[in-house]
Amino acid sequence: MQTIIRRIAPAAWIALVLGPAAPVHAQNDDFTGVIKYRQGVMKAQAGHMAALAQLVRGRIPDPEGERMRMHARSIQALLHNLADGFPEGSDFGETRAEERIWEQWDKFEAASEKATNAAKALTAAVEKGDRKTITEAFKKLGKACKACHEDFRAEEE
Amino acid sequence: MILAALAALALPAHAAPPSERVQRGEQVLRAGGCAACHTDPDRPDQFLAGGRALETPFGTFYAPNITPDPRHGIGGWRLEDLDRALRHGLAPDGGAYYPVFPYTTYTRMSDEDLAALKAYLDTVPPVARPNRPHRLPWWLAWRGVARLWQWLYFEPGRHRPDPKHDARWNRGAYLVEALAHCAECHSPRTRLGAVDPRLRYAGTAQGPEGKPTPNITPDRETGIGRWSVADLADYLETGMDPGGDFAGGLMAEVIDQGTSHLPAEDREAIATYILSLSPIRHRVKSPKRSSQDEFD
Repeated sequence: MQTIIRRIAPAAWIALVLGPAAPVHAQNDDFTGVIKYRQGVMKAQAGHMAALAQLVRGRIPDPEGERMRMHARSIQALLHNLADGFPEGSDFGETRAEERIWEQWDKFEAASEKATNAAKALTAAVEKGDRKTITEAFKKLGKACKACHEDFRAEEE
Repeated sequence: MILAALAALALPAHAAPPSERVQRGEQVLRAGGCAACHTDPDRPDQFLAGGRALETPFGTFYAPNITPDPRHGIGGWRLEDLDRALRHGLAPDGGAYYPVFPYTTYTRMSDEDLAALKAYLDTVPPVARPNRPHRLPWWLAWRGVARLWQWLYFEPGRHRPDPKHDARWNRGAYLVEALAHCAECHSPRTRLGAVDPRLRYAGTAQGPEGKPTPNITPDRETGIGRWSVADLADYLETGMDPGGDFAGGLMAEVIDQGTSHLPAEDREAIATYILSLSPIRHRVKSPKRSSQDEFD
């Protein structure tokens, strides 16, 4: 009996603390859509980056560069106006977006622009078809992604 | 063939001209992750000048200045002083260092790498940045505690290659166990701050700065068993995991300041060794937060 109580005690506490807070949560429901959307966009980018990495490293045949072009263009399109996906206050809810985004909005916007420009440079490199330039551009884009996550995304709990 | 390669690993590199030695020293520093902790992320211009805070369950430690500044850095150190610090955990005044400084790993460093590191550190621009004292609970503030800890848990001694494995694996084992100290962050610690030997590399919910670190053993469900050597080598170069997500936080610093500067063969060696570890089933993150949901 005692073990059961011990086991459910933390859950009971959470219910007690979160219970009254539930209506507050409901107020922020308007951000659910924007959070879900930007997470979808981020996942789509990740998928393209994962695929592109295999092409850039020459592990998949792509003689005409057709696949690379498709992925690079898609990433560029997905990165367009990235910062718009982060309206102020949308750090509430199921998100790892940090409050710092809005505290340092200029820095955040500059970082997202850096990613957009890196994606443009990558598309341009892919159009030209020079392997070395493509690899460099791909790494640069990765750096831009990483830099933004480092500053503005919370680590997983 | 393998024996010859091992012999080459063990041979001292005394024939190396100074500039080559300095270059090798920089690689030791990069592989050892020194730059990530000893550089303030807000002042990347003050390279190796310390000041970075490292929050741990035992208090907040501030990494010291390791530039050759004679007053605030380690400008006056001889090779023997660096040896005592890195491989014996002792300051020049004989005081014991806290194990937040991973001498438990560096003690396995080779003589040649130690000398190369010293040669490189002597070339770094000195920065006159004063050290900040650690913020510790009273019972830890006395350094005798660190000495006691060393007596309990610290076994000094060089790394020994394993002749059962090839040269690449052995290079990886040396890089990971003597320099990169992956286990120091990717393992849970006991109440006394020692790495839990049963869960070495299996990740912890209470890593540095209270953040979780993932299980990096090749367990397919809870670790990185689905990663290939190329995936892991790519990750250590660019920070992109096989799902296309980019590392943030401390691991991004480790990559930026450390592994991305290594020769590609060294990253492959590290990946080869890590993926050869015994898989340990140990889930650090909640199941919902698997690689499928890394953006949630």
